[in-house]
Amino acid sequence: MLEVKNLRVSFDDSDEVVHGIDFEIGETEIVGIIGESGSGKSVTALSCIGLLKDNATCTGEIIFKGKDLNKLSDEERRAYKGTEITQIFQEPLTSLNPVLTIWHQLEEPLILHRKNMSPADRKKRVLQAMQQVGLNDPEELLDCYPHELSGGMRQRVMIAIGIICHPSLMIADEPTTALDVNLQDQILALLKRISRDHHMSIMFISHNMSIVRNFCDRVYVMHKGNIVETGTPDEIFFDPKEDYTKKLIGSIPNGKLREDSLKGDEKTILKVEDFSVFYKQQKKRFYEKTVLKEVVKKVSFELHEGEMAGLVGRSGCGKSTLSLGLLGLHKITKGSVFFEHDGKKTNMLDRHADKHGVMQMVFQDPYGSLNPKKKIGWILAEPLRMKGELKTSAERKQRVHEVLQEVGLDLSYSRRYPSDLSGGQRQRVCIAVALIQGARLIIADEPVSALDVTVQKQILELILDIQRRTGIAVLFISHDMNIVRQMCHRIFHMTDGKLNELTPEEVSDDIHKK
Amino acid sequence: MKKIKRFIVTRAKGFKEWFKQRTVTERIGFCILFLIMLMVLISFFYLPYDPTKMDGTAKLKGPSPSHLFGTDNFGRDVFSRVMSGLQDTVIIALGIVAIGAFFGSVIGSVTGYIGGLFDEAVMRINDAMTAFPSMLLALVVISVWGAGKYKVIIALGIAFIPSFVRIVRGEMLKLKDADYVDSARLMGVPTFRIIYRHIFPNIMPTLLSAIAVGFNNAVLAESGLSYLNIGVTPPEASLGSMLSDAQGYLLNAPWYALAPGFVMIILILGFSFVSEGRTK
Repeated sequence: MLEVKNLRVSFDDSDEVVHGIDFEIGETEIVGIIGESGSGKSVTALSCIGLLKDNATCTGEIIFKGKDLNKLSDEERRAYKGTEITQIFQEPLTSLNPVLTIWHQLEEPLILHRKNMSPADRKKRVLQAMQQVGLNDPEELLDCYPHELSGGMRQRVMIAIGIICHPSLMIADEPTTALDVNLQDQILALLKRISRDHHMSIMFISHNMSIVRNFCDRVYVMHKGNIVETGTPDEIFFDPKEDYTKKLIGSIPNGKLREDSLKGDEKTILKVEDFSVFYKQQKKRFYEKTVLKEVVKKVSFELHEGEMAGLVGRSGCGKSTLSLGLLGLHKITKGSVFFEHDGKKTNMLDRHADKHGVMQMVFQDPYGSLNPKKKIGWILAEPLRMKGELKTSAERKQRVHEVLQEVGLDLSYSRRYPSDLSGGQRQRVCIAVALIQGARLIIADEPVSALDVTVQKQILELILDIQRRTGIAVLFISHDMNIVRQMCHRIFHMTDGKLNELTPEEVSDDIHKK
Repeated sequence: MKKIKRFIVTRAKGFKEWFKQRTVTERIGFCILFLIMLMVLISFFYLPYDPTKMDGTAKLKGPSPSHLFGTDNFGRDVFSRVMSGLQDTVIIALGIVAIGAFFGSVIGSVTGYIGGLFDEAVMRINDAMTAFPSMLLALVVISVWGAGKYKVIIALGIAFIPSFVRIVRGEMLKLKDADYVDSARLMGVPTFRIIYRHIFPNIMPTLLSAIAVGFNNAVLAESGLSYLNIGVTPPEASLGSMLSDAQGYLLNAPWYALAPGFVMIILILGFSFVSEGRTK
């Protein structure tokens, strides 16, 4: 149905990002395109639907139902957008217009493309589409604004907008990346059902290998603007031919249990008892009494030296809040947190205690955790300046270089700005920031979820390596059970602010569940 | 000597790079500003004529090679007066913006960072000051202390503080929860240092464009005050007071009003271009 031949896309007449690729999508076929960020997946998708910016030039043939879309004028091409070919985007928070009601946004494609439809028919079709995507009570939702809906519902509305004109091809650009695991499954099942019921093909773009494996009929692997390999998911995942595919598949966390275990006589490094973290609820009027919402509910646990503990749970269950509370970054807490090292006991909740350095954090978003206006060397030297042990800048520089080497970065990085670094490199710097302060416990809040699989693997290996070498304890927060399983000695599970430890049986069981 | 030369060469290269990265509007803006600043600098050392020296024999003469912009009703050289007026106007506007931006930044960043009831209280005071017309405030100050260059700077400078408070506070609210700020807290960086070393550099781009807009407003406000004859005292000139003086001779000596007006337009355009480029 869609056949793309020798597609080349370049920006500003210079940087070619897609180097002549060929692919095809059959009727009601679900085709996956996988690749790392920057491999040209999204650009390919945009050129198929014709949403490339003006500074991009696109050559080659895009034959859709026997017509070369690339030869059509903008005007003629617009007739295909939203009717024959639709696209759903990655970010459900921003792909809907926040100031228009759901009804407006759903009705719009019909007004544009089904000109002879009466208002009553339009309403019928809108409600029907909403039911198709599993939105219950569609009548009530019509007058809602996007912010009143949850992320999953928004993505459903987005899909409803996409299918409202009965398209024959849907381009889904990472449609589930921003969603929770459970929601992901629901949305994928929904897409699959719609594809079957309405004979709609789907071009599914993702960097999440496991989703692509379960969801697609055929897979293309993209790398640096080229298609390296194609085949059924089984062929790609179990019998990859090309080196790049092998590397890519090899980087997927396989969920094997961590082999080495603790000796059992390690000293306790962190003792948490009945620890609760509260948030202030938004007040309607300023004189109202502040209501506290308990996000983390009476959590007790212990961490030992040299231990890697995992913390899993759905988004919104309080994982990140717990970590902020432990570090003293969130002030409204109850209970006790004691940090023990070298025979010294520090109360982490005491504002005046000298606790700096002992516990550090690696943040989820590598793009937000480094000050964009400061050079890496400056950022790394800042804690040294604060401590004041190393007096001269030469000494500090020496230490910065040591730490940079420890995390596998060149010395030249100390003179660069964070914006010059890739996500993986930034995450290395964040780890270096923790190390340079002599941290004994690192809380890593989803440190790899924003990274590509191959980079992800490198960072995980780095964390493991550092942990083995220096014997620091790590609390590893993640939503990916496979990663946690292969990294951690023990795993905690958090639901609704409550924490419980998974028994070894539960941990190994979980492999078969998913 | 070699070192100095290398320093200059690298700086020049850096400047070239920097200039290349600007948008066209920004480039034009910077060129205009450069020329104006050059004129102000020159006016300190050299003026074609004494701007306050009257010449009864050459009243309201049109532009000629000896008087580029002609002469005014007292026979004073308009070009010289524009140059010295520009000098006064620029100095006054810079002073106003400096006061406004400095105190605005300090108050805004502290109140934004602390938040809570303190922030609430400061912002209400700020709102009250915003609601109070800046011109009126300046009039009050001047009627109490009398007219003069420095009083105008202080009066309008105070009036300009609230807008900077609001801008800096907004940015501060946005940035104080950034991960890198949390990271700095974990490093044990004191609050004051977090504000001015970690967060403030990130507010700078916004603040700079606010300063450019503020400068324009300051030029206009000063001209307004001088037009009302309560700013710069005669016989000294500022662009605004010249406009006010020239008003009566619009028909028989249009160059008298056109010259300061034109320079003011160029000055404001220059700053608008720069600020527009910055916000983009």
